[in-house]
Amino acid sequence: MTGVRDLRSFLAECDASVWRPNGAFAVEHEITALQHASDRAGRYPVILIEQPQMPDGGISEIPVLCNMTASRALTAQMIGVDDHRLAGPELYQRISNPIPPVTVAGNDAPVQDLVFEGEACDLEKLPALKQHILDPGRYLTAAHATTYDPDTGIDNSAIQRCWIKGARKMSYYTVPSSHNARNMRKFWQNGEDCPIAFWIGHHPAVSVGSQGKMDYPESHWATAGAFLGEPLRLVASRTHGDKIMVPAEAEIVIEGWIPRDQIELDGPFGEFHGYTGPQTLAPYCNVTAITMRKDAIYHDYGSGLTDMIVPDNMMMEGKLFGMVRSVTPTISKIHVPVSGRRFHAYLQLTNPMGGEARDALAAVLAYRRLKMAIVVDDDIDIFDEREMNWALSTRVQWERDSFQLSGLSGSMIDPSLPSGARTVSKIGIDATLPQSEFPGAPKPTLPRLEVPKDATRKALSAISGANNSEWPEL
Amino acid sequence: MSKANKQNTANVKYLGVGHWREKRGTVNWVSCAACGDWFHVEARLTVEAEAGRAHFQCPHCQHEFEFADARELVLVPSS
Repeated sequence: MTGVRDLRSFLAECDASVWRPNGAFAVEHEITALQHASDRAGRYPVILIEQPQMPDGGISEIPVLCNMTASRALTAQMIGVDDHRLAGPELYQRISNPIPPVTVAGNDAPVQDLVFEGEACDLEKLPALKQHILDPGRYLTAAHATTYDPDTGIDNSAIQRCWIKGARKMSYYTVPSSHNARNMRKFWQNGEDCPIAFWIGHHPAVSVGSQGKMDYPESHWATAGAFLGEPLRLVASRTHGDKIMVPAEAEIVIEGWIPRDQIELDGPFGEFHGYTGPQTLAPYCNVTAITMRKDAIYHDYGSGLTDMIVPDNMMMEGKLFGMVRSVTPTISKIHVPVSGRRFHAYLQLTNPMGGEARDALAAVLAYRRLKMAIVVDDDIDIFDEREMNWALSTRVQWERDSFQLSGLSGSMIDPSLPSGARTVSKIGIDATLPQSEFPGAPKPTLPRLEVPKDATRKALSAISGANNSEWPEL
Repeated sequence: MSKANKQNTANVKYLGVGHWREKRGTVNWVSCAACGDWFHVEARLTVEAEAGRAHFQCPHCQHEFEFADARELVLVPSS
């Protein structure tokens, strides 16, 4: 089928942003090292490794795509948001206007071009990466685990890691609060194994849209369609039929069962917070089928790297924007910065009335992952950390302008938490300026330093024409 | 008219005090007697000007004027 948006159409759309390093790169560490290097350089190309070198030294026929969503600007563009700074309000609208999926037959689903079932399955042939030094093996990191709620039949899809342990066995790690974990526990409580399918590789609009922060039980497919701008095409999985549907244009699908009450070792493994998470216990998946496109591309997310954080944080922005909107209409932009992982949010309000800055803070701090929220006025660029620091250093008296809340739910893998903690503490900071109280009068604060617009234009013109290659960067 | 009498004619607005957690301004603003543009002044200068011991000079048009001649003043109550 032509005209459908998928991973290939994405690569064609952004060809100029794709880096194809020459030569072979090992799936163990070398590909992830490229992502670390690009992060450090502050440059975010999509990286396509055409010669992934497998642990046995051979070259995989399946290329590896990584860093797909490391660029915030490119990711926004690919989901139809022209200005990434407006991701919050735009995604809020998108989430509010879902487009239901459509079902296609297996022979119209490229992801079922090749079908391997039973003993023909071999996970170890996939060019999955061993990313970091303490990882115990090669992991799937962009596998969207799809299960369903046995009570309602409503499915759920989420990115969850899997350690390849053999040709037909891999770990399946999911935090207890996740919707997939809820589904799995329900099957187990019914005395049944949990059916599951993992899909890998699609257009970023689908990958990002599928990370919507949904209620339970609530399918992600319609949100993915809203991001795609058209109904997402789904096909019945080979093992589970229409109980578990998978995207027809995905690159690879792995199907199987999570055996009841069986848990094994998993990890250590890299986490979004930038540290290596500890070894733990996790269920595992017995694989029954692997399907893929004829010339499949394997997609990997760099754990704890910008690539992994950007799309999730943009989805958080959409969710948080709606939460603030419910208490004040003055919210204009929101930023969940990569530097704060998923713990910090910057809110920009336009002329908030008395108390509204704190209303906004109280609203977003209820969101599980957040630990700190800062509100600023619309003269502060919330996408510039220097501006945020300036606002904090010049507009805040800590006792007056901050408040702490304790005993709230939070991310239990926060590395600052003491062992055994079940709740976290959070802080809200009002870094707005006092509002003008009289019509026509300025804000009763110091005005920021400025030069006339004409002088600014002239200076920018002069700088753009200067040879600055030898100028110090610090 | 004496300087002391002129003080009473100034168009002074005081910011509210409010709850101690509310942000209520940090600096006084004066609207120039000549051009009407606004500029900000230190609290000490405001006190001195109000008492007739100092005057303001507009940074926009350089006009010098007394407290009572300001078109408007927005003053932060001292804490």
